[in-house]
Amino acid sequence: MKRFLVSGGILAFSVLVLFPLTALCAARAELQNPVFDAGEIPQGQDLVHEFLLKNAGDEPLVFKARPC
Amino acid sequence: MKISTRSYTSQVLKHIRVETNDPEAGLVTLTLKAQIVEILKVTPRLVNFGKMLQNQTSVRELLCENQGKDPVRILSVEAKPPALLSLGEQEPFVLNPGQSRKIAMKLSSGSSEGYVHGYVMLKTDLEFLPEKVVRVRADVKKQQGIGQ
Repeated sequence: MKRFLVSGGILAFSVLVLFPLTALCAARAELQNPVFDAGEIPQGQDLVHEFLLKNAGDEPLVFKARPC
Repeated sequence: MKISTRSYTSQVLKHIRVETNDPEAGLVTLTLKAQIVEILKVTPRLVNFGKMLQNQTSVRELLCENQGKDPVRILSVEAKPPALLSLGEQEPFVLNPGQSRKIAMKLSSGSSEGYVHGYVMLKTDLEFLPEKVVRVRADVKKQQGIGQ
């Protein structure tokens, strides 16, 4: 019975305290404008744009970009 | 992001997929688009003379159109290789807005069998498109091989 109570206590502690803490400590990618429309541009002119990706979280943001 | 628009004639639409370790966002898609204005339009973009006999000549025309709002100066028109491809006109000229001009080109198939390739290069005063290239090709067949 005692062992059961200890196990239950550890489980409850993990769920109630550790899990929310883990969820709070995460990277959070913030992107204000994921779509950019350059409008009309003459053929030959390079289409250049910088997207700003901000990490609003409290863990390092790791990302990998690839064309699709 | 940087995209060259040299080969585009209408719309550019590119998507970039960004995978992150953000547990909520996960995958983010970036979209970049633009409408390309083809100021100097040269048609056809590729000239295929098709099947030709050895030592035969054939003539096709290129149509150059100024679809922009300002005059376009064609500084030179060059055909290569000159042994195969020659032009009816090589002098510089100006195309005013809305104006078009035809350029005749003659392909001499030569004595060798097989595919022959060449190109016509127009040099312009356009800031972003200093040259425009039209590829040319033909399939040269043996004299006796045709129609059998």
